[in-house]
Amino acid sequence: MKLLIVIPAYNEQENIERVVDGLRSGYPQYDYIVVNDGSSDDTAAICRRRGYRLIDLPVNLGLTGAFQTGLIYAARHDYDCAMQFDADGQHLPQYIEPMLAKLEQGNDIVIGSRFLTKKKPKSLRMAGSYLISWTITLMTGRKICDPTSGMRLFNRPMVEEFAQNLNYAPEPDTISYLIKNGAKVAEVQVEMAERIAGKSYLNLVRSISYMLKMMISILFVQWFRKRERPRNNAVRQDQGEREEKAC
Amino acid sequence: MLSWEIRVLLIVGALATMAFMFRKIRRAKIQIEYSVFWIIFSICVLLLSIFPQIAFWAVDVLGMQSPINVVYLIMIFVLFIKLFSVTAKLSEMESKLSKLAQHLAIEKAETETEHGEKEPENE
Repeated sequence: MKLLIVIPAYNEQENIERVVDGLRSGYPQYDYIVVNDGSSDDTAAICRRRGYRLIDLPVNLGLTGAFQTGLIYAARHDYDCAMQFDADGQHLPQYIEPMLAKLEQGNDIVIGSRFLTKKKPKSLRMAGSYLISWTITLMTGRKICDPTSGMRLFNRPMVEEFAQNLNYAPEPDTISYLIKNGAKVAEVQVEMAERIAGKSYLNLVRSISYMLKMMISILFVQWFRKRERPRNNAVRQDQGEREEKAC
Repeated sequence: MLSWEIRVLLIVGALATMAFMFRKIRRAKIQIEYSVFWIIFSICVLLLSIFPQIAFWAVDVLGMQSPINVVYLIMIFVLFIKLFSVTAKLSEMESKLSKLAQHLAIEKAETETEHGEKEPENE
């Protein structure tokens, strides 16, 4: 399977070298592409100086637009699957292989999950994650232990669907919508590192408005969406094997 | 007092707004992010017309004359804020658009000069 790792980067000058060098030296078998999302810092300059594969967006599109750019590239260059990979060093490349293996078992999306076999901590920070998990279960009957994980692997039909359509943000509401429409979504237990440098985008206000948006989107909006390109094998009896889940 | 005519009108308006938004979403003509405001707005209008007590409570708090004035005031206020944020967004979009166009045109010009200036074709 030909994999493209899509690394959207917005103002990640402190992290991008470490992340991409880690991939290039340890995992040369995978292709990657950095999508610089109109950063105002030196992210693009560093990528050029180090000779990284780079798509340099002239304006800031946000995560959805930047990630979609990577997927359009993947679709145009005939990749079999594409992975969403953070530029802040949170995601660890040693988990790419087990995720690929899971995808090859016939899944459409594989999520790198922090809480598949490990218990999700009952902290305020995780309250949002619990709420989204619970909402997805309510709407789809499926349990997604780590819906907000940004480490996701998509197969070819998903890459095309994400590349072509509006309202395919790499977010939990899209996952919920796709499960409801017959996509096979699986999780693989991964570890994640703490962000080493730079600031996280999330603060309290942003977190709350993100949650509100997700809840409304999953609970109300997804009912009214129509999937434009239904797959031939869209009707599936059971949603994959049942696994032991700790969450 | 909120007359039942006004309440029916508000309910119809809210439902129509929701129906319009959901139709747009169904046809993939609007981003979910942008529809969220209108869905919340419609839900609030629905609640207000089904439970007009909310308006009575607001009359007391704000010391106003009648519930219908509260309804007007809140709606104008909310729409005012929305208009403000849309203006800000529009301005942002315009500057992004020109940046994008400039970037593309300059890039094109640079690749064209790299390949040498083309001879003007003779008729």
